[in-house]
Amino acid sequence: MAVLAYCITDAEAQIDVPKQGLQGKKIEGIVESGLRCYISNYTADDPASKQPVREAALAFNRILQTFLRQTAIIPLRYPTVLADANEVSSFLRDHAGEYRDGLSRIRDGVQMEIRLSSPAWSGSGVENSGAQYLRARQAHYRRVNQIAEELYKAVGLAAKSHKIRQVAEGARCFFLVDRAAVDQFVGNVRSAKLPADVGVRVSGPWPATEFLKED
Amino acid sequence: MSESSANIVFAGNDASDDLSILDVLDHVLNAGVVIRGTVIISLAGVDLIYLGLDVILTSVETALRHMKQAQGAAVHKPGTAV
Repeated sequence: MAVLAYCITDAEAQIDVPKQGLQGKKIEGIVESGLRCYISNYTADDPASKQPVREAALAFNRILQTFLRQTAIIPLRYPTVLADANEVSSFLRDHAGEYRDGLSRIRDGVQMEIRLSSPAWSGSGVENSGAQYLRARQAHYRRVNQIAEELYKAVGLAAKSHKIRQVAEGARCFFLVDRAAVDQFVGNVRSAKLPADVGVRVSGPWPATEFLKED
Repeated sequence: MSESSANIVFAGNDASDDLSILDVLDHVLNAGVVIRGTVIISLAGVDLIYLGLDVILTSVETALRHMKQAQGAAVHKPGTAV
């Protein structure tokens, strides 16, 4: 029987498992090599599978969030459908070391994300040469990094670690935050003094996928 | 450089508006473990998975850019179909 996989946790984590998974199926845990992967049976021709992908993905997120509120999780991308529970066990066995390391790294942590954006960073399109373009990008990255530094200062000890990823309109800043420190993190960001032309969008808590591996 | 915290938006993780939905989809579809080679796509119903993912599999940056362009067009060019 095909199964839909949700997430991986430490096998010892005490979890109040959500009653129903997608398609109204029962969620069960497969234990292997110190890890537990939560799955539910998946039927391709189930009428419930005709749910639009967006709605199914949002329902999947609600289930992940229920787990995340209780313990550190490694999510599987939606939709990960495996042939049967044996395939899940085999996968856990093959990756046990990697995932146990990842879970111990993010233990009790969740990921908060801050997206920095500004219309000015989308590029003016008036650069006349490659050199001008590169200089403009360099200035852009410098400013984004300065603002990110201000954010790191404001966040302070509320985050255990942080990472930045430059994107076209600015940057995505990721923070590893103790589950108990999320409110403190939000309060610190709220009090940050940042340039008025910069959009700051805070989201989370999310599974700490950016921090599973050491850089 | 003027400073303010007025531009800070707290979106959470619960898909309460369109941008939050994009955040959620970005995390559910783009972040997390990928099991390569063992995903049985054929079991998932082609008309559901493939069609749906074609529609929504874009980065948040791209989606936000399109949304802003659409909003800009609506503001600056009244009557323009968006």
